[in-house]
Amino acid sequence: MRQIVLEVRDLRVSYHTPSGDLPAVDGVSFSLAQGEAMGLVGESGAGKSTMALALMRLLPRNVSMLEGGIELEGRDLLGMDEEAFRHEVRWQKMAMVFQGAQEAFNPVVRVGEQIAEPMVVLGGMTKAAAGAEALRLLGVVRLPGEIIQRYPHELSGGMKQRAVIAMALAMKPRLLLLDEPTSALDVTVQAQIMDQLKELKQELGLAMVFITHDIALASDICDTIGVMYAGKMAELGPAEDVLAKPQHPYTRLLLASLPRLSQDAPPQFIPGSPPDLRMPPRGCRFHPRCPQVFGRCILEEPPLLGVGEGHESRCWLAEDRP
Amino acid sequence: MNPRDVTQVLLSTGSGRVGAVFLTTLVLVSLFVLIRFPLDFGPTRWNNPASWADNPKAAAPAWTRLWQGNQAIGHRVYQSQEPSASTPLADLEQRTYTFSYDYGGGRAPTLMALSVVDVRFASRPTVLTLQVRRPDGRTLTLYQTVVRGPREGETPPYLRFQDAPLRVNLSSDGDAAARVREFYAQQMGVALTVEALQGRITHAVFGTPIEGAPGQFQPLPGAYQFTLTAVTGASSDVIGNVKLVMGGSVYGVMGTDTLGRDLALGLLFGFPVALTIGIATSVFATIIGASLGMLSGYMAGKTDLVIQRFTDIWSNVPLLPILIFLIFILGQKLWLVVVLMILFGWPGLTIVVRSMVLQLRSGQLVEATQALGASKVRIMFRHLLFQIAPFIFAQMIFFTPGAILAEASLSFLGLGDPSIPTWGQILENGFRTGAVYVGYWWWVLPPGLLIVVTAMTFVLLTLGLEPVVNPRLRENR
Amino acid sequence: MSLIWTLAIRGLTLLGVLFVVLIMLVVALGATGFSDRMLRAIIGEEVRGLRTSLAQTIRDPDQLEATLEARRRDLESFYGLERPWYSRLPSMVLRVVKLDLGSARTLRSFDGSSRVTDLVLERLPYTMMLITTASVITAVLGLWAGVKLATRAGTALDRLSSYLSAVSYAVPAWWAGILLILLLAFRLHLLPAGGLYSTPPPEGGLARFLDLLWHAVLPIFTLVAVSLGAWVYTVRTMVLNTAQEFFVTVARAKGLPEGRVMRRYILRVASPPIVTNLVLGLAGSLGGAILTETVFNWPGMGRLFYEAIITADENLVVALTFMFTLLYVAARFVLEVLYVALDPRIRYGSRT
Repeated sequence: MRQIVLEVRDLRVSYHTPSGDLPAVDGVSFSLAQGEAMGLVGESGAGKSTMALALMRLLPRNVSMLEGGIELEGRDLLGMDEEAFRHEVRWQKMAMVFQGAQEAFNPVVRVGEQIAEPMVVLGGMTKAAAGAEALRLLGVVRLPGEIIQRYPHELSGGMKQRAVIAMALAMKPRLLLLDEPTSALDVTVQAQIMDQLKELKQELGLAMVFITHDIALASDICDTIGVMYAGKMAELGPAEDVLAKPQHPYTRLLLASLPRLSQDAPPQFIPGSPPDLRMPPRGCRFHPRCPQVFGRCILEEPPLLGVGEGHESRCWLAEDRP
Repeated sequence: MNPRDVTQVLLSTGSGRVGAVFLTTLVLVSLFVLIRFPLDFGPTRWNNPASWADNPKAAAPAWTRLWQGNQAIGHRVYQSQEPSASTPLADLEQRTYTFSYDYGGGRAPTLMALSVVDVRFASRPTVLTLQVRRPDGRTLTLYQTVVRGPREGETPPYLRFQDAPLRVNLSSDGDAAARVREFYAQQMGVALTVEALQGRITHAVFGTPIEGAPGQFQPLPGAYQFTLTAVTGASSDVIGNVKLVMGGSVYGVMGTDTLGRDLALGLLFGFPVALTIGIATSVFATIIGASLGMLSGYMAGKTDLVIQRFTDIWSNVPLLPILIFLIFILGQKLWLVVVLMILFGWPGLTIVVRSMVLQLRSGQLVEATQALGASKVRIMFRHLLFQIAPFIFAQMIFFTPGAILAEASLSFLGLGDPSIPTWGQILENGFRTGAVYVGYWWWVLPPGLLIVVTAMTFVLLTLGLEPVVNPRLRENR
Repeated sequence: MSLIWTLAIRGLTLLGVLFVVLIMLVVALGATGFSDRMLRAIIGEEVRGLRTSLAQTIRDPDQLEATLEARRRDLESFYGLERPWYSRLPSMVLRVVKLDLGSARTLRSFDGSSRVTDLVLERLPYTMMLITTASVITAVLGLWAGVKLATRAGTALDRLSSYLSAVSYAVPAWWAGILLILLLAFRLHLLPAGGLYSTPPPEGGLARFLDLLWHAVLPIFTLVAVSLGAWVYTVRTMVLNTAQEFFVTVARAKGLPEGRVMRRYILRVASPPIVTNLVLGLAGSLGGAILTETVFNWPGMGRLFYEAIITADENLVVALTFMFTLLYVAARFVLEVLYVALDPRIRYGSRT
């Protein structure tokens, strides 16, 4: 039985800029069940990070529009009072591992204190109990316990990344948002951390939203994959289906851009660059870069069309299928 | 970024525009002063008491009459090269110079002075007489003199009052007092004591005695006709210039100080001086600071270490006490002040430029040029300088008010250069002679205000240049 | 270990400052021939004193003169006057450090002593009182206002403050003091225009102390007013810069209350650069004290400096230059220690 943890309905976020409003997320919907991981994949500027910030309600001040619905275990997050959201949801129900763990720690406070802090402030634990818990969490991410006494500048990049994950687990959240958690690390460390995340997912039954530009990395851990392009969901479906039978030309190009050992063909680059969202192209947003573009693409924007069991693609090509 | 871009960014901000307008004004006024004022204005005019003798002392600006009303009287100067009338008198010639003074009945003139310049005679010494006809019809002789006759061995024409004019301050002259007492005794039947006239000659000339109050005078308003009569021996004799001053209680645009100096002139002269101090100091300090910073950042190793340590120490020397000491010991010279401020002004920039160069040095551009074989010096000056130039320029502007303020502070402590009047010195004069404590606001407010406005000009320009220095700001605009 | 090392480096640099200033003092004094004059004056004084005491015992004037002349020569060789000035540098430095600079020309201490040491040490507490009070008030007010402004960044109030800070930078302390005297003392008769006590000073210890405080209000207010603007702006910028750091966002994501984020994640982190700026402003406030004391006739070392200049008293000028440098270096070191205590990155690593 799938128990829905997170439900996002038709989410829209726009930023205010001097040269017009910029719709960074433009009508995105998906849902996520307990113990499931969802991958959000796309180029930078596709709206992935804005999605995460909107979920945490940490959007910058220049947001001009925030619409749609976000429900966490049935509670409407967008309508909640700010103070209640801070006090009841953040870090307790939903935590986040940020992109750029290198700057995620306060440089003048010891690492252990920063991990334990929410347990004391929000969870009402004693300092000693919170310290012991922080020590346990460091063990979970396989860090030596003495790190508790260290200052952030004394940790290596990989250690900081693990410490950030330990910090995110502090309040035993139901949902973990991971925004490019391994992008700054070298490949071996990246693999270790991905293994750990997989373990955590199984052991703790965490729901995860995994945000990355690297579709291969996402396929490693995710049950569902959503490919975002220019603020919209281009393709959404079970990970195996999206990887094995990509329906959207953009997904195909993303997959083709990956270097592979088993193929002789060199990786391809996607020509062109993402559109300026202040003046998006008419019709399908991908049409200027699409190798399979035809007349209708330029005139009309396609809706998300069903292409299989729980598999949708925002492409007119999908309409021909049964 | 080329200079035109910098200007454009500067003018796109409010503070930049205001700063640019102020700077233009400062420069224009300075140019005007440089053209119109002699360069030795300090010793020959400002610090020469003779050039201010005919001015009222500590007089408020003339426009204060707006609220002072009848309490204030204006300053009047009558001058004439040609006599109003000239009549033959036997074998002599009598020339008269007539000036009419309207007295409103309020305060009596603060000063009454007669000057005559350039008298030449062929044989008979010229006789000069000053008389005033009062509104009550009485005539009072204030002054009479015979120009000194030929000296032994002197040949005609005899020249008198060429370099130093004949100048009589009638309002404090003993001879004039005696004539006034004689006039009062003969025409009014009032005997005035010497003490009663002490400092009150003008009150007597422009008034009538009050009965029962000896030494008090009732102002007598109306038209007073002053006549200088010159009796000369020949029509070829010359009288160059005749001047009569009726001192006011207000003067000019900016008033005067206790020496009667026209503050407007001193303040005007301060413009180019302040700008020169500020700009000369900042330009040279910037050149030294930026060069050492680039050298330090680029050379690394021992050179870097030595420069760094030295800069660290040098930048921590407390400026004002050392400036006071050195100027005090080495002499009160403006050029010395500028040189010392340059010597102590560069380290801040060196530290910042060094760190910028270090950042840029690790950048790819320099590595690439190095790989292409460009020489070290060339790299430093072409590529690095090009990239940090806007920043250095902004620092230079930022440093300018510091130099102006430091000079003003030194001047205020009495260490100003006596041969070059500055705003700080005018203020110091006012402070030391107690102008603050007797309320001579026109003496202390304007110079301070000018210092503040000049410093503000450069601060505003710095604020306007912030987007040049900090590109992130430029994009967010 | 590295903590001690860091402090040692800073301490050495500051000692270097003191050394450089001392060298500048004695070289300037020596090269201008002033040190010769200074020493001769000291010798002359001593010989005069000797004359009055010897006049009792030695009756013969010729013998008296000869004795005095011999004594003078002794003293001259003792002070090294027959050698060139640069060979006397070390002893000169020592004399300046000990403030052993003879006596002031016309100025006297409150109890009538003319010794430079007495004069300077007597005025020192008044300067300290002024500078420390003003610095503490400025620091506290600036922190409070700077944080307030940072939370209102971009508002009209914030823009106004940036202009006010520019004005505050451009207004010389002494001119501000003159304005305040004109306005508050002479026009409105609210506060005394200067001096230490009223004339006549009130009876009783407490009344006297309150009178002193009453006279300190305007000088302190002036010092605070001219440095507060720039300081508020610095704090505001530092706080804003830190508030944009990523770990602040993380702290908010952790569900921490806003007050705690401000205290622990913004102010705590911004405090080392704020202290740095406090350090940099120190030289300015020292100079400000010299001028402010002059304007308000406040009998501290600053006013003494002015009086020494006006009466061309060279010994005093030397002593005061050294004292102000010493005061500056000492205060700098205290702040350096504070800085190191605040920033673990320096406590445990290298300074960047």
